Parts: sequence; C-alpha cells; structure tokens
Amino acid sequence: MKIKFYLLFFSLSVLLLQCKNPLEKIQLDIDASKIITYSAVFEVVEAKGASIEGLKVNIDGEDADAIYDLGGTKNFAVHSGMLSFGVDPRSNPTEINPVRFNVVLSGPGFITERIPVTIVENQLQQLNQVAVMRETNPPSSGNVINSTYPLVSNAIAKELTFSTPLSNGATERISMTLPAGTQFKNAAGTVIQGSSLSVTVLSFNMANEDSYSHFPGGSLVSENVIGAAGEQLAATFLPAAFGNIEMRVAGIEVKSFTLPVKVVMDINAAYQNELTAQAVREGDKLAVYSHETLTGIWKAEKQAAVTRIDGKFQLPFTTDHLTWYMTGVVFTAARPKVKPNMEITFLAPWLKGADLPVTVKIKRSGCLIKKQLHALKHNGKLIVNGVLPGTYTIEVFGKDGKLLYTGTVVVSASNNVQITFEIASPAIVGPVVSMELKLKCPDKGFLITPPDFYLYYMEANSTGSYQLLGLVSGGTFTTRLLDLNKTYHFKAVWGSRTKIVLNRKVSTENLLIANQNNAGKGGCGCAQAQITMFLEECAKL
Amino acid sequence: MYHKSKKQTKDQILPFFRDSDFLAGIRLRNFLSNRFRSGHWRLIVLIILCHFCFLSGINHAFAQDIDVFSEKKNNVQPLFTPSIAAHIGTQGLGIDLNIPASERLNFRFGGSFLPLKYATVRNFGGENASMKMNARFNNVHAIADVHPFARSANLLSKMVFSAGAGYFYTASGDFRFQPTGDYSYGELTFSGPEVGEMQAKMNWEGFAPFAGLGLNSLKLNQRLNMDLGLGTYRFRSPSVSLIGTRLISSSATDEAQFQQNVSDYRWLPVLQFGLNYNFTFKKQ
Repeated sequence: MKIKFYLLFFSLSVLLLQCKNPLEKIQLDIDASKIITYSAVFEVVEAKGASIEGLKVNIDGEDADAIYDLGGTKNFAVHSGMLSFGVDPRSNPTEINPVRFNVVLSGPGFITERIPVTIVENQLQQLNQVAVMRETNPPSSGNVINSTYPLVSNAIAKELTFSTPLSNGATERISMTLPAGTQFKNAAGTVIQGSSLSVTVLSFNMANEDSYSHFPGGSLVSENVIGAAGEQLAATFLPAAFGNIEMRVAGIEVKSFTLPVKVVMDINAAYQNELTAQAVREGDKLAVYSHETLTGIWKAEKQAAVTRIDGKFQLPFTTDHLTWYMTGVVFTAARPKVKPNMEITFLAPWLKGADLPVTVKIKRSGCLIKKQLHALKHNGKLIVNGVLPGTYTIEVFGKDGKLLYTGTVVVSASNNVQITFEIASPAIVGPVVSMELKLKCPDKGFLITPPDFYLYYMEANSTGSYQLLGLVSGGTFTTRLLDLNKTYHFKAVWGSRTKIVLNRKVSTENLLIANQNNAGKGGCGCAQAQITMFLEECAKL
Repeated sequence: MYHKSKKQTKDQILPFFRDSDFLAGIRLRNFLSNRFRSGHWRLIVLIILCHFCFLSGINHAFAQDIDVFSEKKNNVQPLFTPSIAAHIGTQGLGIDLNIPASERLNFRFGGSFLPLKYATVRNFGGENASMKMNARFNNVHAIADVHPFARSANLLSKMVFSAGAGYFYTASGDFRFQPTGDYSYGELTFSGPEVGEMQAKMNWEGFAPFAGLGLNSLKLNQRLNMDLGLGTYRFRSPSVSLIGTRLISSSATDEAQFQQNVSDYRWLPVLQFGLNYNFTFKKQ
C-alpha cells in the first residue's frame, strides 16, 4: 500500500517542479539607439567666431516630414554648437530612394544659408561644418561693401558703380554698374518707392580655401539645378568667382531692376579651366549661374567670355535680378543621381580599434568640392554622395591640420566608386585608451547604453575649444589621441542634450575590463588605459 | 459469479482508491501550499482529475479483465505481446513497436510528435504584450518495461515500471512578445508591429532519460488492448536566446536572466493512452 502511495505521489510531484515565471525580471525595453539610425549632424559656428545667438533653424524639402531631431521632435535648434537631424525609421533611405531635405539657417543680421542634405543608404552618420556669416562682418575669406546711395524719383539719377574692397589678402572683387534711371522692383515685380538704395555686395577670395565653405549650399555639388532649357539637373561647380548682391529700398528687398545692370567678377589668374586643361585665359567661355536662397535652386543664366583688362581677368555679364552669382566651369548630369559616387574605405590597423577624427577634402581642378568631418576607423567607410564623373584629389587631414593622406580618384559615369586608402601611422601615436560611457539613471538600478553620439575633448588646463574626439557607439569608445596620466574635459552632445564631464584622467586602472570591452566592440582588446564616465542623462531615451 | 466478481472488484479497488488518494491529497496540499502559485493549482486539479479518470477507466476495463483473469488464474496471460501501439498523450501522437524479451520484460521502440501553439496577452512591467508560442517536441525513444508483479491477482498484475531514453531531434519553444499598445518617442508614434518583438527561444534537443509507470494490456478485445502510462522525461537545462527585433532592445542581461528563470524547465511529463494491436494473437 505504501509503495502504491509513493509511486502516485512521485508521479504527480515531478510535474510541478518547473514553477518559476520565465519572464521574471525581464522588461520589454525600447532601444532608443534603434529608433534614429540615420542622422546628420552639423557643427555650426559663426564665421568669425562670434556668437550665433538668434540663429533660427528650419527645414524644408521633399523629405522634410520624415526629419526630426534626435529626440524625435520637430524642435530644431543649435545646442552647444551642434545641430542634429534624424530620420524617421519608417522613412530610412533605400538604394533607390535617398532622403533629401534642406536646412535653412537664418536670423537677424545673419546671411541666410540653405544647405541641402542628402542621406543615402548605409550612410548612417555624417558630420558637417557650417560657418554662418553676418551681413556686416564677413569671414576673413570674404569682403563686403555696405553702402547707401540716394534715389531720385525712385531711380538712380546717374550711372552708379560700386565694388567690393580688396582686403583680407583678396586680389579679386565684384563690381556692379547701375545705369542711370534704373528703378528697383520687389519680389512681386512692383517698383519700390524710396529715397535711398542700400547695397551689400559680398565677394570671396578664391585663393583662400575657406571661401568654398561659404559657397551657397555649403559644397560645390547640388542636385537642385535648372539647366538653360529648364531641365532639372545635378551639378558640380568649379567656381572662378562667386558672391552675393543684396539691395533694399525703404527696407524692402530688391529682386529685380527695370534696366539691365552690369556685373563684373574678377577671376584669379591661377584658376584652372578644366575644359581647356589650362589656367584661365582671355576668351575662355565660363558659365554664369544664379542661386536663390529662398528656394535653394541654382539656375543657368548664360555663358560669358573672360576678358582681360589692365592685366586682370574678368567676367562681365548683365542681369536684371539679384541673387547669389557664380561663374566658372559647371558639370551637369540628369537628376536624380541616387547612388553615392564614392565609398572610401580607410585602412589604419595601427589604430587598434580606436577612432581618429579627420577632415577629408575632396578637390577637383584646385576647387574644394566638399569638406567632410569624419570619425575614421580601421576598415571604416566614408560615403560621399553627389559627386559627378571626373578626376578628384582626396586629402585626409588629422589633428592640427596635419596631412595624413593624399590620393587621386577617377569617378566614372557608372555606379559607385569604391576606394581604399591606407593611412600611415604617425611617427608618434598615443596609447590605446578605452572609454566606457554609460547613462546612469537614479530611478533605474542599472546603466543604460546611450545612442551613438559625438564626443569632444580638450585638455583640462587648456584655454582652447573642444575638439572632436570621435563617434561613441554602443557606449564604448577607443582613441589614441589622449596621453597617459593627463587630465581632460569631455563634452558629449546628443540632440538637445549636452553633458560635460570635467577632469577625467587617463589611467591604467581596470585595464582587464577595458580590454574585455575593447575586444568585444571590435577593438583589439589591447587598451593601455581606461576612462569610465557616467553621463547621467536619463530622460526618455 | 458475475456479482461476486464485482464485489471482489469493489473490495480490491476501493481501499486503494480511498486510502492512497486521500493521503496523497493531504500530502500534496501541504507540499504545495507553501510553494506554488495559484496558476499551478489548475494543473494540479487537472492531473488529479486525470488520475480519477484513468482509475475509473481501469475500474471498468479491469472489471472485465478480472472476470477473465479469475477464470484463468492458473494460466497467466502474458502481459507483453509483440504489438504495434499508437499512443496519444502529453508527449504527443506516436507509434511504438513492442518487442517482449520475457514474461517480465518488454522493449518499446517508437517515436512521438508534439506540435504546440498558444497565444495570450502578458504583462511586462505594466505594459501589455501579446504572446505567441510555437513549440515542437519530436522524439524517438527506446524504453524498457518491467512487469514485476506478473503473478499478482489484482491491479498490480497490469502494472509496469518503465525506464529508457528518448532522443529529441526537435525540442524547442519559440515565444514572441509584441507590445499591444503604441509607443511614443518624442513626436514619433509607433504601433506594436512597428515597435517589434521580443523573441525568446528555448531548446532542449538531445537525449533525455525517461522513467515512469503504467498499466498495460487492458484488454478491449482479442487483438486490441489499452495501455495507460505516466512518467517523465528529464532534459538538460534549455539553451536560450532572447532577441529584440526592430526597436526592442536585445540585452545580454535579460538573456542571462531568462536563462536563469528557465534553467529548471527540464521535465516533460508523459501521461498517455496507448492502443495496442497484437499481431501474434492466435485464436484457440
């Protein structure tokens, strides 16, 4: 009887041993870093280092609806010098559909800038620089004339000529001649009534490479181009000269004239005419394009011949409206060009898993087509889109502007160009420093891995400004730009959130953990020093 | 003769029924009261009901069997005969080939297939999520049945003790959890399917020992008889993975916690009914 009882009891009890709730202590968490996977970040500065207070940010364009800040809101603003945009994950770019939108920076006293942004598939991050200009205080690469002239019966009484000054090392200028009797119209085409004309003409020193960053749109490529026959095009510009002319009568912006006005743009003798494969000569035909900031569209105006007067090359042309103007060689192609032209892979095994912030300059015939900031990794890729077929020079600069690599790339009319560059190790390179950056939230008992963000640094005793250290991904980061036993300040910027961590010393403590993390995140597990930081930013991520 | 048999049946069965079940009930209640959550009470009641059911079935079958048995008391019918059996139970549907080695020893070779599907809504830290489960337990097994009470004159004559092993070439569970509501990130709102799923997978593939007991050869007719079995397989701790898709985070910490939570999920209870076809029966 007892045997029977125990047999029965055993058979029932064994069924009930697996009782623990399988979901105990498990949360269904949303990973914020998986929401915004494509982003574009801008470092925004004033061209002469002044404050950008009052600068407003708006976006427009075909995919503007899918663009948010990194916190998922439509509140775009510059925070700690950084302006960030993220793509709604449901509208991420695909192979045939890149994401396109425009960033418009404007404000009282600022020259409005409209920067087209294109994000293609696999181009997860891009970091760009924008230097906004003030109307009355241009950058050192530019020159401006601000003058006021009297009007008689709402018109110029006699022929009026004005030019930008030759200063800041500039040897070229933009001149404008208004014939007598010229009246001034607003955007609606109505003659503006007023007693004086305010003129602002901005020209750039093309011998100064910084000038190219002020080219309308921020680079010499554009996908918003209207050809001479009205067709929609993409273009690569090789400017010989460019500038902006603005006029106001009674505070109202002048958009056109009742009589054609003459514009003369001086051309640097060193300008390389790619069409002739020689320096510019008298008689060369150069294109004239206008750019309307309000729409961001470049428009083919005319072809004009280079003249030479008093030994100076000039390009004169007439116009009846005011916008930005450029003259030079322009290559066009049918739009849209959806594939990226350049996929640059960097080889730098000496980095040992570390990031190396670099500036990549893409040039053609001496013109700086694009300048891109990049957090370079060994076997990492930089995607450069919108570059039309041609021969380009790639220059990679490291810390303090040191040239790390230069090479030539030929972009053909076919699809992607994939290039691999090997970056040689510098003679002196810092130790492998592993960093762990987590979010420590008082209301949660554990650390959270933050979304990807850019990290900046400066030496603790320095009076300089924060410099880019690299892109932190998955809460860990490796660098070789820091020195052992030195103390640094760090700045993390993510969307509208900025976290500054002061006085962190590069130490050799906890190297076992550092190496485990370093190896686990694609590094070599060979960290020589370690920094741990808790960023303590816990709003809903 | 028949009434006498029935009285004997009652005298023999009822003490077992009343005594052991009553005591088993008390012991179980005490055992369980300090340990198990209410959800498991439903399982307990189900098992007890099954216990009552199969005892009732036994009573019915055994009543007839006793009749024959008492008549042929001195001519013991072999419990084990070469036969093919189909079974259904908690290890699924399957087929066994019974090959007796002796009067007291039988070998069973067979396989079972168990597909499971289930859906419900669970709560994750205050958030509701739909849960869909797909599980499969397919095995081939080899089991030895021992008949120690061959000469007994009661229910024990049908009782066997089984031991063996199964190879589970498929033994896995796939659980998918998806938030049922919307999730907001800033001004972005995502529906449950857009948020994604947490996919929890458990795997027990491999060999698993088996132990159990049962009642064999409950005769239905000359060629057909019924087996009732109760036992369990014991697996190794399952290997698990916990993956978040789309926006759901995949956390090594959560996976380790999940592994810990299910580390004791190692038992597959077997309660099954088999129908045997005796292909060596000869009419006398």
